[in-house]
Amino acid sequence: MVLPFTQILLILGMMVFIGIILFMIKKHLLSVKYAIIWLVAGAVLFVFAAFPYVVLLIRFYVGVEVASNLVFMIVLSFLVFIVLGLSSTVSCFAEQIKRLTQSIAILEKRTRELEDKNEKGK
Amino acid sequence: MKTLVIIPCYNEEENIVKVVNRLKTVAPQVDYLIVNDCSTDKSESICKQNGFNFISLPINLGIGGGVQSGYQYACEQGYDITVQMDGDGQHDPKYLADVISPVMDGTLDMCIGSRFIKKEGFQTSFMRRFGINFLSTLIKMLSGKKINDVTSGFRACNKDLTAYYSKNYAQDYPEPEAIIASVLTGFNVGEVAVEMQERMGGVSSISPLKSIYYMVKVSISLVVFRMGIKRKRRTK
Repeated sequence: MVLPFTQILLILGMMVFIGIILFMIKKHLLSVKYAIIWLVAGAVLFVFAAFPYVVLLIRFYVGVEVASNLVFMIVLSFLVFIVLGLSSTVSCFAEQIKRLTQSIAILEKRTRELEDKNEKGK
Repeated sequence: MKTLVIIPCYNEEENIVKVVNRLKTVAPQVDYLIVNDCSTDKSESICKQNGFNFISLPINLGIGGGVQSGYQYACEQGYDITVQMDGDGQHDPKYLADVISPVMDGTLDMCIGSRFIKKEGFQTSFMRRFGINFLSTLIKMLSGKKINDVTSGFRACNKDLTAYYSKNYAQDYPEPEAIIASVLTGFNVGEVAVEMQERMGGVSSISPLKSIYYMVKVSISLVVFRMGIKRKRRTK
């Protein structure tokens, strides 16, 4: 059986995608914590590309008319999840930066007062 | 040799006094540093009241970031040996000398206290043992080094490895990753037998749901760490 050209392209594309994720983890450009969801998405899409029969099967059970719509829907839901997760992470970071800034400011005041005390003591 | 015991502490108000007092009586010659990882209970005020040597992180970094700040402190203060010991009473200071001695005489760069060599004391639940065995086999496959108790947080490091860890240390669930990082960078890692207790009080930081995430995350990290690395020989 000869694979259609588009399918080969899709499989190659997904392999490159997963490769890039692994490379980014390796180079510390991406931490494993945030990479897991991307890897899962990559793996699912890879299965879809390699075995289109799976998509047809899911389409049958879910009752979606056009198979490509199902793929779009799944990709979209992955993206929504990831973006929501990122928004939440950014919110946490903002909170942490705020707390760090506050504690540094308080520390700065304490050291300044200590220094002043030392000056007067001399 | 100047030795520092790092005690990571997150919500350990029930245990921390017992742990530190026991350490002081059993091993008075070593220094210790409690890393209070932004505990939400009274851990910090207890440390203050008792005059313990501690640092308090302004935000919660998790065990990895907490321990790493201990390693940074050890580097700055010029300690020769750094020991990591849990703040929940699982690790008995009476084994401190056993864990330190291979590092002190230079046979090992890192020595891990393992509860699975003599199989005495608290052996943890079946599922966790299964997970630990899996990770142990994975590390053996990836690095060629057999370590039984890969999740043990009772470990002593020499100066070089302390400097390495102060710069590179995994953030959550760091123990297995720390092993593979040090082995593949060319450090000599080994184990000695210790007995561990069941934690004295409080709750463990790893819940059943988190453990699935734990296994997936650590496995990916280990495999990715191995990718494209040739084993280096460190010159002494």
